[in-house]
Amino acid sequence: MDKSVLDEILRQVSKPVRYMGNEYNMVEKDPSKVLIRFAFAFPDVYEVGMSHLGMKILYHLMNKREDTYCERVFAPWVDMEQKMREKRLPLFALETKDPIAMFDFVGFTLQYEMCYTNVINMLDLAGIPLRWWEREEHHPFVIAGGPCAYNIEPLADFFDLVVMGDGEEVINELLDVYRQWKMQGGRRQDFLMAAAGIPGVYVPRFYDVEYNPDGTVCSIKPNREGISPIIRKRVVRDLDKAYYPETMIVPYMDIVHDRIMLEVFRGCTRGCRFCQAGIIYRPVRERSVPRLMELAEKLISNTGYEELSLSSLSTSDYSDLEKLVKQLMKRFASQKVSFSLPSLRLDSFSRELIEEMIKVRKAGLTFAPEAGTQRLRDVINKGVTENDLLNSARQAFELGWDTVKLYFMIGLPTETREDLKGIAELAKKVKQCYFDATLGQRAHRLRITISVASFVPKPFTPFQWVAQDTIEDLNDKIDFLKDKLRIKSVEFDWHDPRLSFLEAVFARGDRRLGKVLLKAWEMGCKFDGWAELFKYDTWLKAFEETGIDPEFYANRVRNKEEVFPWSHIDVGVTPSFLWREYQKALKGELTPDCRVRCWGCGITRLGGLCQ
Amino acid sequence: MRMVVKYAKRDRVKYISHLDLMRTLHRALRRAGIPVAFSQGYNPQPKVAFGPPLPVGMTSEGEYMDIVLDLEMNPKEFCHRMNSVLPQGITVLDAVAIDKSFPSLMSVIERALYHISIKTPVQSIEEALKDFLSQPVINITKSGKKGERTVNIRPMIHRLETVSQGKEVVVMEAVLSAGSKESLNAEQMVCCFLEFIGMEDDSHCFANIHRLEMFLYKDNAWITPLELGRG
Ligand code: SF4
Repeated sequence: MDKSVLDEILRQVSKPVRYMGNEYNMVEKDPSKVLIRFAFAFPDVYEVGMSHLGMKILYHLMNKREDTYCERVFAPWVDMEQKMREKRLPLFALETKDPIAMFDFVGFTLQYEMCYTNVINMLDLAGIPLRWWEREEHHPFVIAGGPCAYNIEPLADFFDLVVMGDGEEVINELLDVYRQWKMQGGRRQDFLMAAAGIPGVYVPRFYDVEYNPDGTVCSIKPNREGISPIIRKRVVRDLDKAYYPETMIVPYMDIVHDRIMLEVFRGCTRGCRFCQAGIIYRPVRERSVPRLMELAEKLISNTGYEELSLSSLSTSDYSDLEKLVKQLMKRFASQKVSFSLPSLRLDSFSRELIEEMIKVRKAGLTFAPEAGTQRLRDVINKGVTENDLLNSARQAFELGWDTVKLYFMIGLPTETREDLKGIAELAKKVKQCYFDATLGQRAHRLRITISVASFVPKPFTPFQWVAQDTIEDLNDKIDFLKDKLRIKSVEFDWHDPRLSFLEAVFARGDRRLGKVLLKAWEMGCKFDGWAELFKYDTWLKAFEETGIDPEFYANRVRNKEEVFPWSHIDVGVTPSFLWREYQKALKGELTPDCRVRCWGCGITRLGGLCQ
Repeated sequence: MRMVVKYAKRDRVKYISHLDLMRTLHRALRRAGIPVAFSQGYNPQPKVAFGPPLPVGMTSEGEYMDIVLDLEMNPKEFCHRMNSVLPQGITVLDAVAIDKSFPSLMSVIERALYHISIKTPVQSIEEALKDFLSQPVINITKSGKKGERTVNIRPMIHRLETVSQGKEVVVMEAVLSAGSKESLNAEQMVCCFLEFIGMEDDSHCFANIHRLEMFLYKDNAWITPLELGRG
């Protein structure tokens, strides 16, 4: 690529560092000496993408291979995109600045639905034909992974291949198959056939979808010999033995999560019924304290980061947390390295431990009661009581915290006005707690933020059958809350229900939505998750022009027998378990943490896990 | 102990902001295992103070920082250890131990030397420079926190002359005010000059601005912070 053109552009755009590369620990290789060039694509801006743990793991994992060079590419912000189009500069990888259209793979990680138009936009900027049937032999294979890949159907037109589940093993198997194919020489189709033989790999074009007259899916079946009717997600059994990077790229700019991420375990045993991650990442697999200490040691000395985050879906559930935190503090406090937990569940935290952790730096405090009343928390199986919450809040206030953020969802199944009122009640009680704990001495410093998101029913959860509230309902509820939350020191913020609506459409969508995505993109939609660029009316037009009713996907109750667009995907947890959980939810029955007792979710069918 | 450190910020990192650069250096200090002193309190910060920041997009061979260590360390050793853990484009050039009473870099540094390359079709650039400098007042508008204000930059241009003139590119040498008393952004001055000679609005985009050194005034002479440190 002409570097002087890039240089000229970079002088004119905001945050040029996003496109610069050259960070400490960036991998440099001679591209002419590798067989496989892989562009790891994150369909959002640099500072969001660089905060993502999966990318860090797979980037270094692939680069360990001598035959492969993995580089990174992010969605250019609109000003950069405009300049690139003006100067006909194709989308390039950060490491070599080479156009990604000349790579062997472009692999997208799909973390949330509202990045789908960015996927299309990035392919277009790269000059790669958008749909798989438009690509020719010399084009890269466009592949996907990440949580949204479990229902890839709305994007099925755009991807050649999809990987389900933990990537650490399957990515190497895929690259091995590719290597063989590339050395032997063969047609595009031959590689895809060979790849489809790898467990966890899904090639959408090898399946035909039929629909019922009422628009629901009738069947999803392989359309050729040798293709498995079911795709089962991959699970890495032993995290101690699994690959974990000992170094990470250290960005120059301030990214969203600018710290070392040390994954202490994968999975979650809580069983919250709205939570997709809690199902798709099952079972729980922990790293041992010695392994974590070893990794922390290397990561701190290789990156120089001042903060290390113990990451997982609910870190306070880690079996040896006390021991781990104490060892980390003992070893690294003198270097002024602080430790944080992404999801601080104070209910299971000892005060002593918190006091330890804030010795170096005091992080923000958040709680996620999710619902305002105990009844509704039981429905969603959020095993937190009001007492838990208030006790932890009091402790935190005593220890010097003045600000706290509480996360809630509205539009949960069975929700009533009482539940919404409960949110305001809880805010008041937390406020009272603060006064009790501080004896009113720092009253002016208190800030409670109530943050509300609209519930989005997700595939592979007990609520995959339920209808999302309409936008009108959700707006009413927000207005109701605005009124109830007019409380001094309490701030209220909420997510745009129109975004949650589109998320619901695409989360449970089928292949017919591909043309809506394409249309919306053609009409200028991108960065939909960014409020300043979100064009809801354009989306509605795209639905209209393609003759697709979004409410069919978001606001319709599904019956027990319905075949879902993701029915051919096996995440381990069985549909019958999910249905059982759904029924229990409606009755407000709890399913306690499965560390206490196994509830037979079905994940053991993947073999040898969860004893 | 305390040290004053000279370093370079080169082409590969010219787009990182001053804040980014500070973060990058803080992390490099930890990677290098430098026993840097930290401030007290809930959010301890390494005791590193910087000289006049370099605007985004410029390169430099003459940046300075002042750092406090908890333990003694040989400055040579410091340079060596830092350079083995810095990203490409940032290099520690030299360091000297300084006294506790050494003044802050921002307060002593008064001038900076630049090389500025511009693409220009104007042939008689020297004439143009002379005309430019013969103006008693050169006003620019600065937008700051308190809104816009007009500043006369003429007294802040201490030297401005061509050092080489190629077919397309002219290299000028400039000595401008820098530091906390008064300072002039070289890019603003170039814009102002280009406007003066009636060049396109966006042609300043082609200017490469390179800082070579910074100076302070002591005993009737302009010396560098390192020279001050060496006494
Ligand atoms: S198999 Fe049992 S213990 Fe394991 S995740 Fe499922 S319910 Fe929980």
